[in-house]
Amino acid sequence: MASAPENEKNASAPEKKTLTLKSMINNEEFVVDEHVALQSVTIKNMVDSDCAGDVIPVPTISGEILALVIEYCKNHANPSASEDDLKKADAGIVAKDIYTLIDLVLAANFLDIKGLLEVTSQKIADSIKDLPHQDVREIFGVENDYTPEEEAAVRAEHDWAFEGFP
Amino acid sequence: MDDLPPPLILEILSRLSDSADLARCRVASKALNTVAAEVRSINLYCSFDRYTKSRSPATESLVTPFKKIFTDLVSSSRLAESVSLGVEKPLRGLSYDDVEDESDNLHLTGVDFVAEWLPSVAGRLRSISISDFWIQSCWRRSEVLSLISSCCHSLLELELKNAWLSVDGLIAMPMLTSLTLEYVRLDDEDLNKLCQNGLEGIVDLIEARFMASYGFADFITKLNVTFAPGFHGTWL
Repeated sequence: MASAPENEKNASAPEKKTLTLKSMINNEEFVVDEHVALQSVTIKNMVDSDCAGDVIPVPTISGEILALVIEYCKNHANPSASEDDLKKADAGIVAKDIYTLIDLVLAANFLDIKGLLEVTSQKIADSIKDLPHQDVREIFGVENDYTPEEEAAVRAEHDWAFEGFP
Repeated sequence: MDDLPPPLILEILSRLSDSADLARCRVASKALNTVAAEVRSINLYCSFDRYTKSRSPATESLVTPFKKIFTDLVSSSRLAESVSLGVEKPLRGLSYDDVEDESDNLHLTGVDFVAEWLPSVAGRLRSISISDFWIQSCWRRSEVLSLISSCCHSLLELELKNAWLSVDGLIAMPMLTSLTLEYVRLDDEDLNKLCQNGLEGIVDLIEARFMASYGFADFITKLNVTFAPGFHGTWL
């Protein structure tokens, strides 16, 4: 068993425990109250198993995205926020372009924050609605991997979905 | 941009509110098509445009009949647990006097139509929602309740709207936790049957919501029943 790093400062007065999250993409650091950060199951597991040092490195998530994630966690850690407030706040967080949303959903998935994953997935689904399939490819970062024959066949099977579609 | 892993793509595709959007995603790539096959819900609503095109001989051939689309979707789905079908909003507002429509191409609670698609998925369905086309359904009494109750043994939620229903042959649905009837016509005798058989607590609600504007004294505008635990199986 690897021993957990024991280099916490010994505070004399009971102070709010904080964690520092560091984006490994651009080295941006965020100091967050522990109870806010613990909404991430991934971080909670690290803290619970004593694997979290002073600074928790967050790979593959940029500072810009991490800031959004923390904003979400702060909102949802506020016990006096009403359901309506939270809905509005969530809508504000996901009012972003599609590429930010994709990064955000990946971050929510990596950090295991169910609510953020759901609200972001819904927003992406809403953005795909009524888009031509060529744009859908771009959003999901997929290539057209059909052979022309296969594409024609699958298109024929779903032709009804293109009726009246520009 | 990092590629999304398939479970995340499924999470997103499962939230599309219209199976037509999902169908277009399936055409986008093989990878998406594979993930889309895992989606567990079918949601299909007939648009005003599809309806008007299907009514004119000149444009009829340009659109696939709505019932056929739905039946094909169900038969190609291996995993559907939730189905939702109906007509889109502009069609819901039409009254019988607005259009002459003898056809039954949008009579969605029609038992012949439901019998075409339901049996193959009935066993795993958790939720059914049918929002019928009043112009076609108001003068056709449907025994869809009998059919659904006889074969959907895992059904948790049932919602039927804008239809004329019969309760003949309706049997208990012990798993059902929520029943919504909205703008539904029930004949007096049927209503009595429904009330006598354990719906005591909500009879008041039913009676309070009678509406005579369609000329039926037995017209329910909205009945929303959520079954309390332990209440199951006694309601019919």
